[in-house]
Amino acid sequence: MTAIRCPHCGATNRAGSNFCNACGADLRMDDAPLSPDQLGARSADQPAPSASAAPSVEPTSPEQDPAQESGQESARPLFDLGLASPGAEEQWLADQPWLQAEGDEAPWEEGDEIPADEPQDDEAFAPIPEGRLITGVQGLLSPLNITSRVDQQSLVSPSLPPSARELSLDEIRRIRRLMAEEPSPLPAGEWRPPRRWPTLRIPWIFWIIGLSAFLPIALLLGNLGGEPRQWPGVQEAYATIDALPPGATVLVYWAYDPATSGELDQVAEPVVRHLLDKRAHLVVVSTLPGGPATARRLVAKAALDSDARSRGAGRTLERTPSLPDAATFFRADARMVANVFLAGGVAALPLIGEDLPAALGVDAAGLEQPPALTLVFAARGEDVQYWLEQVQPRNRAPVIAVASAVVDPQARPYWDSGQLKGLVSGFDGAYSYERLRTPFRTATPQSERARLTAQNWGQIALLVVIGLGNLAAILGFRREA
Amino acid sequence: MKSPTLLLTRSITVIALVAIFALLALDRAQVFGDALRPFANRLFAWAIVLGGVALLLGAINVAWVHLRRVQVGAPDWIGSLALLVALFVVLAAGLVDPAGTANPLVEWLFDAIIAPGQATLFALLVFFMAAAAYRYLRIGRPGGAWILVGALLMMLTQLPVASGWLPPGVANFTVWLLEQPGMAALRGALLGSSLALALVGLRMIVGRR
Amino acid sequence: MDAFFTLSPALIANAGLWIGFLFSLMIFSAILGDHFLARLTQYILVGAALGYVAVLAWQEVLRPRLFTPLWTATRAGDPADLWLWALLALAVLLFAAGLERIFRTPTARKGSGGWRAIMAVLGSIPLAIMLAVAVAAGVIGAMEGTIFPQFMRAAQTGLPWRASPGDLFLGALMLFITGGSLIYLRADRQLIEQQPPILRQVLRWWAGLGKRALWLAAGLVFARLLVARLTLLIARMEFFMIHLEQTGLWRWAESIWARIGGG
Repeated sequence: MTAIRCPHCGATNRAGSNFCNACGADLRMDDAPLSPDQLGARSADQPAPSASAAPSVEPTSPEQDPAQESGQESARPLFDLGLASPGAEEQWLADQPWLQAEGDEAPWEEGDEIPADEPQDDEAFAPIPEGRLITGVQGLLSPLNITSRVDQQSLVSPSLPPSARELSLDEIRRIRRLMAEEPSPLPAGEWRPPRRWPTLRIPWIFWIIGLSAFLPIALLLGNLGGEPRQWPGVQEAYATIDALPPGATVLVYWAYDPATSGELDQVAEPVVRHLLDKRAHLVVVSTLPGGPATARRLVAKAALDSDARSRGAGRTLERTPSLPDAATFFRADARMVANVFLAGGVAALPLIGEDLPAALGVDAAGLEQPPALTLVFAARGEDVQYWLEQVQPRNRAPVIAVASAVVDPQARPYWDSGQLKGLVSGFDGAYSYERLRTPFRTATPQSERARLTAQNWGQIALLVVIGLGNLAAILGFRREA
Repeated sequence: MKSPTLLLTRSITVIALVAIFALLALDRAQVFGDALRPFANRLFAWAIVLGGVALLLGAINVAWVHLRRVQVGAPDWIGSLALLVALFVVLAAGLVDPAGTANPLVEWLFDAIIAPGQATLFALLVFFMAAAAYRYLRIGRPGGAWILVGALLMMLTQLPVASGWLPPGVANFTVWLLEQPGMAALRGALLGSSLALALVGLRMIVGRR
Repeated sequence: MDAFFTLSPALIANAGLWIGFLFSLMIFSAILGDHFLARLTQYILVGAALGYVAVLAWQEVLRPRLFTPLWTATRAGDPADLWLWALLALAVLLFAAGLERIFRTPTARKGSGGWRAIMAVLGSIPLAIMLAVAVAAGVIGAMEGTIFPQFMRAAQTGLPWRASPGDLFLGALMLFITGGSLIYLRADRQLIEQQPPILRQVLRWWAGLGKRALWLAAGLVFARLLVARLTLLIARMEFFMIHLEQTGLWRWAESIWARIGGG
């Protein structure tokens, strides 16, 4: 099978392709095919050859030529664009609008297009490796990287020496390729593929999702009704905590910080309230720098609510009124035996299981009894896994995972094997747990209603987006047929 | 040819790996009862303290990089300066008070800057996830039909409003998928990753990279 | 500093809310395109977070676990625990070697003889200890917490000898899926191709089953991931609304809207 390499992003494409399968660049300028050996020698995962590897400004010696090294009969560069002559590279750059600085083009002009010229189901040419969707599942897709803009003007500045320019072009290709594989808030917009219908621009998706989350909360849009589903594990988690004797010591691994507190606070709050109702002594440990502070705020909020309930004032906390003050923190500190940050990551965890007072840095007398239960408040599946590997085999305390929605499928094997005694995850887990805790509640608080409404609209918007993507794909295939 | 420094460094690493692995494994296997436990616990306690030193070094490294950016007037040097000022303010407020991070100013900075900033950065992820879903959750991609079926079933089942009209059989089927084949596949993935970790670790311990 | 907070706590709290609100808005605006203010807020965020981490490392780790015990023992005239002195030495070595690497000039060659080489070797001791503890704990933990219990559970559910035929089939299917995904993820494909034809076909089919189950599971995970991230956005929107309501801005906007609409 022959293939050509995209001069724009370096991805391999079927010979004869008009546009790159990965980035959509125009390939018609050069159809030089890659032999299977060349394909094997440079897989798609390797960095793309720099433009100057072929149109080199500095002539490449024969022993540096990969084609010759691999015994190819021709030393012809992969993309001989005839740039050996002085000034030719500038001309070549001028002919490649996608390598130019963006200039007056507004961002967000790139529409999503189906490259209908190539079949999408050919795995050998698929730009996305299998399992791509699992990548980044842990939420480690850093927005800082995503939102960073590549300053092409500076990268291809003519003032740079030739070697630096080669590097720059190579870098540009790599970045382009990454941008083609991952969704980007700044899809440079420098190259516009031929227009086809339907075209849904990425900013439109952003608007759909943003408004679907904002408007229901802002305008208190009509609640669509319905109740979140109770997943297996919630009932068991509730029963385990409810069976705790009053004043039991509960060890909490606080594996989330403000970055994910928007979701995790919702899930953790009913559980912490339940623990405070049971007058449990909380021992909080965290390996995240922001963990102890997040714990302090949530426990304070739950304590305020718990105190109000015990006074018979009913549920008072609809929304946190302001920044926490000293009195609020005092409430939290009174409910926690310890709230400790442990540096060292995974290597610090075994000590919690072996010698809890040493891990906490307190006297053994400070802990009246060993933990009767452990809760893992986890934003990532690995947090549950690490606890079950490093601590649970040592202290043998039963473990309940209170986690982000994404952790749920990943923690199911542990739930099935009995290593987890309960599993509460996501907004639906939080709702179900609160329902179990307050079964006779008649009115849903306004904040909870607003969240549910926003969940309904937001998830419908996501379904619409997925549907439109598939519609576009199906229409693209039909037209090709 | 490897330099003596490199050889010495590697030797130290391998010796430490072998000795500490043997110590911890013998302790977990209770070969000598609890005799090795204090040594094992001391190593874990050391890892916590050395981890703290590593965190400090990380902060110093970033501060130094940005200080140099300010010195040479690199692009966005004002941003680097702002970073240094923010770092210094928090550091000064936290270190002058024995309360450290419980100092009111540090608490206030946490609530006013760190918490909202981090939360907003992560809230942006849904936009990119939606764009990813639009582009990649398509039936024509490799495995697309399977992924799409799994995703749509889960999305419909977890949609609150769908609880009113979604046939119970569909929701129950999704739960079955989650608890049986999905769980079994993810158990395979879990075992695979754990085996890989164990193999890589053992290769390091026996000195093969 | 504390006096300042005592004098006007309400003002300070309100200022904090406003700064948090504006800060969030500026970061949020990055979605519309890259601009200086969005970048500036991210720089400030990183700086503040790093300062926080440094304070925490000192206050929660180094001071209570290393320096206070040493200081207390020294002041009391007791010979401090030798292990603590050893830890102090390791910490100093790590810190010094780290500083040497951070402040090393570009012209200085790595480990080029003299004190740099000594520093590199000595600095590798605490690093080796950290690495070894992490690797050893990781390997032993993976065996104890995942590999052994998960294999056992897979075998138990896959071979329920006294179960009904339906359960037996389901259990065997689950065991096949687990094995298939393990083969798909871990087995050497060249090794599979070298097997006799029948075994090769079986292994291919088995890996194919695992691959499809993994795809299905990926769909489930992705849907949960979407809703997890959506929940983060909703929480932020709620934060914006709380702020707008508290400051009266939302009521003001509503009144303007009512006038425009003639309401």
